[in-house]
Amino acid sequence: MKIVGFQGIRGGTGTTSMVSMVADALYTNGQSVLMIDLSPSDMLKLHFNVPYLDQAGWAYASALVEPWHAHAYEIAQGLTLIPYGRKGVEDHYRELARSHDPVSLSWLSQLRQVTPAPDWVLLDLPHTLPVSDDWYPVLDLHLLVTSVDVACHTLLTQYLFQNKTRILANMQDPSRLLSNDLIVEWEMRFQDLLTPMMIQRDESVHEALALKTPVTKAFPGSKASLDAHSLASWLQIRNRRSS
Amino acid sequence: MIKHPDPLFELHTGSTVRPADDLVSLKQHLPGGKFRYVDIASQQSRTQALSRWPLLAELANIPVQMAPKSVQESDKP
Repeated sequence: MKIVGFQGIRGGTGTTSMVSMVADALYTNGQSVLMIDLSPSDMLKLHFNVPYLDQAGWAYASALVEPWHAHAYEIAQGLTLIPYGRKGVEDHYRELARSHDPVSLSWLSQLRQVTPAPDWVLLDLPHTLPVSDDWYPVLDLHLLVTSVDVACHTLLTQYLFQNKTRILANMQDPSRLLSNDLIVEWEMRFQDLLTPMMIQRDESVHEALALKTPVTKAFPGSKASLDAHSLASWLQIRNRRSS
Repeated sequence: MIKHPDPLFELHTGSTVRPADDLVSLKQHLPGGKFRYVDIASQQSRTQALSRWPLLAELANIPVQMAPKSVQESDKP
């Protein structure tokens, strides 16, 4: 089992879409995948045709004093999703109001005991979540999802890198000079901290969410979809080499 | 032909066997396979990029911030 956390360096970098497309690409490659949405916005489920008003999820289970894994959706055999979960939008506002006392993530340490163990656990981490002992040590890899723009470039300058963190460049636009220049700068500046795979900007990703389907399913020939498959293969090769 | 791990090459060709290139050959013939080299083409591209965008130039010399090892896990990802 490999546990990979995806976290945007800020909001709007396409982290949740990234989790959905990489999970689907890994699944297509014959891997079993468990996705867990740790973001109170609870949007990962929307990529897998789960109704918006469904309450199920680990945080809701926690509120009901049930185990974190009590509410899981089997999207397909070997592809499982645990949403964040809540009673409704009112709960979301309550979560925001008590952001000084966030829900504990200490249960993540139990992930290694899950049977049968999935090949991959992909965590959708909210960008607001600071690195902590609750979750960072659980990960094998922390992918910092960063759109290729100057705002993210500035945030990367301020970012304190931990040893398992790698930058994942998203929404790269090869038709724009600045986008290409940023990649040149990132390759020189960050070297091995930058994953060799990047995902191109692609409107299909937004359309796929509107269709409640990962882009790899909705538009398998799209640029983002092909890039997601490359990223999934890179993860698998990396996994084979480290095991 | 040589065998040398390269995930990008494997990804695009499905093969671990690839033609030798100068850098790979050089690495194999040096003790420990490690050496420092200067990629002049990339450096030129970087210089041009920094000349085009003042904010990139302004931030270019700020060092990458790495957390102290004492607060990190010992495992490499």
